[in-house]
Amino acid sequence: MWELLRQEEAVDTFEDRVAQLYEESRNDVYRYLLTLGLYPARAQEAVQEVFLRLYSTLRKGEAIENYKGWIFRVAHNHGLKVRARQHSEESFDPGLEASLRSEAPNPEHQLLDRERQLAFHNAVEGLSEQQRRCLFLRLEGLHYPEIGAVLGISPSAVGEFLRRAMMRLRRVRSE
Amino acid sequence: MNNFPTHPEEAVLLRLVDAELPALEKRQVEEHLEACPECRAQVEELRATLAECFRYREDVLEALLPAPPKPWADLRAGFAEIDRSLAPAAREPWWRIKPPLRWALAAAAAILLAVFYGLRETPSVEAASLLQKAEMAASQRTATAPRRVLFRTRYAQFTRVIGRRDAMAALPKEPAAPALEALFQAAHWDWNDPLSAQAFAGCRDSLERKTDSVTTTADTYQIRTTTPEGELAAASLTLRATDLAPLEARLEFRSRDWVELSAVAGETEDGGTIGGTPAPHPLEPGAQPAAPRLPAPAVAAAAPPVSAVLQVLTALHGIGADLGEQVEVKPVEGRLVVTGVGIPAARQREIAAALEKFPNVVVEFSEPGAPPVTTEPPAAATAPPENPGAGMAARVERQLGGHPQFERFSAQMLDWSDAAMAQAYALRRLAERFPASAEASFSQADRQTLRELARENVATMAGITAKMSRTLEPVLTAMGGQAGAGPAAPPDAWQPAAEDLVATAQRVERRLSVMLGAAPSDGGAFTPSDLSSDLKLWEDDIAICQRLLARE
Ligand SMILES: [Zn+2]
Repeated sequence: MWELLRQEEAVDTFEDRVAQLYEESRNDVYRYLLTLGLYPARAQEAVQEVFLRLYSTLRKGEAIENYKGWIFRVAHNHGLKVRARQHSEESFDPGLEASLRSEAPNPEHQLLDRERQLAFHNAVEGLSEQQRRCLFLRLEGLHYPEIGAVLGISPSAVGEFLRRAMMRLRRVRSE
Repeated sequence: MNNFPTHPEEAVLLRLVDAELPALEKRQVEEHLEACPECRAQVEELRATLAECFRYREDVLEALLPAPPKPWADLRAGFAEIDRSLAPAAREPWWRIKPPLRWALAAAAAILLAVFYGLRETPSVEAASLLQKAEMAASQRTATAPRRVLFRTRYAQFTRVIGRRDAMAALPKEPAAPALEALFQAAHWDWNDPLSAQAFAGCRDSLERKTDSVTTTADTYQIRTTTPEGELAAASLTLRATDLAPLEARLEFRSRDWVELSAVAGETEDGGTIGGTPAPHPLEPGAQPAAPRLPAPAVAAAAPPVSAVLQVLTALHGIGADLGEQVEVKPVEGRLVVTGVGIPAARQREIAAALEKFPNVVVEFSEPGAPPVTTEPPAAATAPPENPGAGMAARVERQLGGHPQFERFSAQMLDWSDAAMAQAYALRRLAERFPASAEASFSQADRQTLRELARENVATMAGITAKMSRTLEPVLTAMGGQAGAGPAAPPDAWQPAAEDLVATAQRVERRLSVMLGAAPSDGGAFTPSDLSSDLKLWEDDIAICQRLLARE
């Protein structure tokens, strides 16, 4: 009886935990998948799939030490597979530069220099794919070992990619 | 006590900023920072750059990436299905177990996607509509403003002014023109306005059988149409993304001849400028359009042309004077001034002789006023005994079987490392002097000269690193070293690749010096595996650079 209760409780906890994580981080994961080149509709489906997989993994009794790392790792791997299936088409290109050029500056950021933002955006686009992925994952709050686990590289390689990225972005800043 | 007698590596400072340093190392770096304004400034700079990155995430990625197309689904139904599918099968006969909801969801999604992508524009619809938009844009834009188009073929190159009546009269002077005109007419390509969406569309519309593709970059669209019929095998048109102005066109004939047209930047009569590429850029058949090109910077009339700078650099390269930092080439008031600081008299004469044939070049040598500023700390003759590098040196010595062998090995490795670094720095100077955006506006000949210089640097370096690797690898392996995974995606131009390469080379140099006891440790601990990985990374960087340099 007690055994059963505890199990029920655990199930509820999993459900709540995953539901909460889903709510908190689905937009971040979705954006990351867009930056990987997935089309919006596919990215959104992929996000849902990732969280269902998280729930299923927990329910099967597998231990997950680091949720955020796990979510981004699975999203990354799943995202690459989805992107490979859209091979007949181009990767999704959000056309950020065009939006930056065309959009009237948001009143909140009236003071922000659009030109500078554009320059920074172009510099980000100019990073190598690996540098950019490291940077985006870093901006999602992942630590080097977590980023390394997502991308399948060592934490020190993550550090090196980030250093190179910072070197290039710093140059734009100081221009 | 200060554990960083020299400045910590930038990577260490970044790890500090990123809160990735273990407590002990963090304390040591912080102690160093207290005493070192230089590193403090660097940390501040890193913090500011990181802050800018976070602002970018918020203002650009969060604000401008498209929102999810649908409301987020409630996953609880999916959870329930998973629960059911995981429940012991005995509770329900197997035929009653429904497939998990997510499979059903996936199947429904697949159908939706098929519908969605079925409706999506195929390349040929996309090409046609892009052309239509470009034609529309052109009709609104320039009406009759004359503009210059550069023609290039395998044998000739000339500029034509399009849209001015007297330009047509001047045309027959160009011997290649009549033959080209005939080719264009046979291809139904408008000879009077050849670099235009309308000309491309006219030709494309005349084709019975054709295959289109559209390639998008940050700055351009490229439409490419191939056909099995007629003389013309393929044609491509590159449009600027912002206003669909035609930048380049290329016609490839079955005879293997080709014609490239590119807009020449310049004033038009209405005062606007047309085109972003003053020089042609060959597009290999099937190649991606070139990296985003910027309008060529306005060149002051007096500035020496790029080709002059490149010729001087080539002459210096010929006598090895492009290595080391002492010789510089700067344009000053229409002339090229070559300066050298602290160069031996005999070498000065050599350099002057090599540059004699250039009329517009001035050579100025001077004696060093103060010791040259080096960013690298001078290498200590021997490492202090508590130096972690010393422990490694001892291990290497044991590996090699004695001190004399170690001395020989160490001297050879450091010589190689010096020679490779000289090439790396020379390469970096080229990359800094001629960034990709500038190179894109070079003439074919100038680009070739530049690439040739860079390629020679890289090739020499590759030869040296191969020797280093062959010699060092067995020692490292014996010490338990193993190369880690190499890097992934390369940069898209050789200039940033050169920058990566130099960063890696510097790390190898530093670590090698520490390992061989030729430099004090800077506090960044590393293992033989790390050095081994760095060497691999260096060789990868070289390969990437070579590949990009070979790409036109
Ligand atoms: Zn310092």
